[in-house]
Amino acid sequence: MRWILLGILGYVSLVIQAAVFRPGGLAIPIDGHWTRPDLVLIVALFIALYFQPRDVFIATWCLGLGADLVSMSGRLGVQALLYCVLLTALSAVRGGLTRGWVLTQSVLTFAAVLVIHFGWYVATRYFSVAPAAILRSVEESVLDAALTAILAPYIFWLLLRLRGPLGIVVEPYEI
Amino acid sequence: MAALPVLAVALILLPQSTTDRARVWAGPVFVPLQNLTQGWTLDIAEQIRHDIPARPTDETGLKAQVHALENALAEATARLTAYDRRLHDLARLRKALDGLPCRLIPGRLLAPEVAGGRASGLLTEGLRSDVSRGGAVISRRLNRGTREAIERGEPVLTAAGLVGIVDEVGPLTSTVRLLTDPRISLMVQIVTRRNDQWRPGPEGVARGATDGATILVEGIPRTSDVKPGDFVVTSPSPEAALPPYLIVGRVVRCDLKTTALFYSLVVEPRVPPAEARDVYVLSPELHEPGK
Repeated sequence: MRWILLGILGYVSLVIQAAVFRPGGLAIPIDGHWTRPDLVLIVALFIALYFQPRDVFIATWCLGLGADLVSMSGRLGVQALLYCVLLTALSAVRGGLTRGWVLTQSVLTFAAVLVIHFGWYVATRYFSVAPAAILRSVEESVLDAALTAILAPYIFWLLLRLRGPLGIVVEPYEI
Repeated sequence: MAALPVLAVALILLPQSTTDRARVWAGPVFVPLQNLTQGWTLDIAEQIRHDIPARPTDETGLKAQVHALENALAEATARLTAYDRRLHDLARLRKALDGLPCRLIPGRLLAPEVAGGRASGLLTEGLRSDVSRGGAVISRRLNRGTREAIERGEPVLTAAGLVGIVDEVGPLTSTVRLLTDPRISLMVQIVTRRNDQWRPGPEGVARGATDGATILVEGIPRTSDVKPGDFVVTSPSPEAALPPYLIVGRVVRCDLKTTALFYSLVVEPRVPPAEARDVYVLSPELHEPGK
């Protein structure tokens, strides 16, 4: 049941990500870059913080692959690899984090988006035989990360409403 | 579980074409809901954009846009007027040509200044060729050439009458030898009007006068009834090089020496050569190969 619900969550986040936060939609053009929050990554981060590491590995890989499939460019597998490696590592060290804090959620989201988007931008540019444009990739990733970090606490709050069906055990002080 | 990163790496190494194909295959999974959501998103985005009040810079931009549109409208109106005039001219010419199988190619005679023929332009001829200050223009440049299948010897006219004959043809432009050019030689006919009766008169040969403003018609027998005010048209004779009955001009003076057998008529062109602008080249109809 929880996997079905997780699948629905992932699917909805992928659809919203691809349809809503796109150029011409609600993506915000800043300095020639369409800045958009990464809803899929927020869901993946939520999974990384609240699910078992084994489940995290599979779920984030699938979400990453979904993100690759709905992307308009880049190679398949880049986000899948980045999601599963980074978020499983984060899942392994989450014991030392106060995941219920808004600040923690925002900072973690910012860091995760920064790293994953940077990797994806560089890889996409590399595979499309364009200059790596490291600084430009950093700039774009920071913009995406900032917007996602602002949105993250609200999405976390919404997702925690589903903690029962998702089978998540949360301490009362974490809500 | 360890297979997943390996699988991801394998996917990364797939060629871009395979990746694109995979995205196409995955389309039906996401596209239906995406399309639905996109519709809502566009509505929301449109509302958000319209709710944001225009900034002063946008107002300036809007004013600039309004000015640009006004300019475009004025230009379009002027163009439309010119096209109307052209259509009117063409209709008149077609009627006058009376079913003659030909093409009327619209063109424009470039101003003599543009073509370097007068004013401060530099001529390739000088005093040695009798070019003097205030000299007449006997040749003009036309903005049509071989690209429009124009050929040497074709008449150039306006709705008011004949202007000249195509001389040299270039790819994009041509030289028009005006009727006032002394080197020109046309078979013409006099058309008289007596007591409101139009009658075809005698035929003669027209040449440009040396003043660059008038045409001399010679070879009109002294017994002919010719007066100032009579019309001169191109000759209907089969030997004539031009189509018949194109208006050349009106007789302004009839010179007759006591011993001469023929009149020497001074004719004023219907179209002042230096003022003609929008013209038409009368060209034979093109025959497509195989037809």
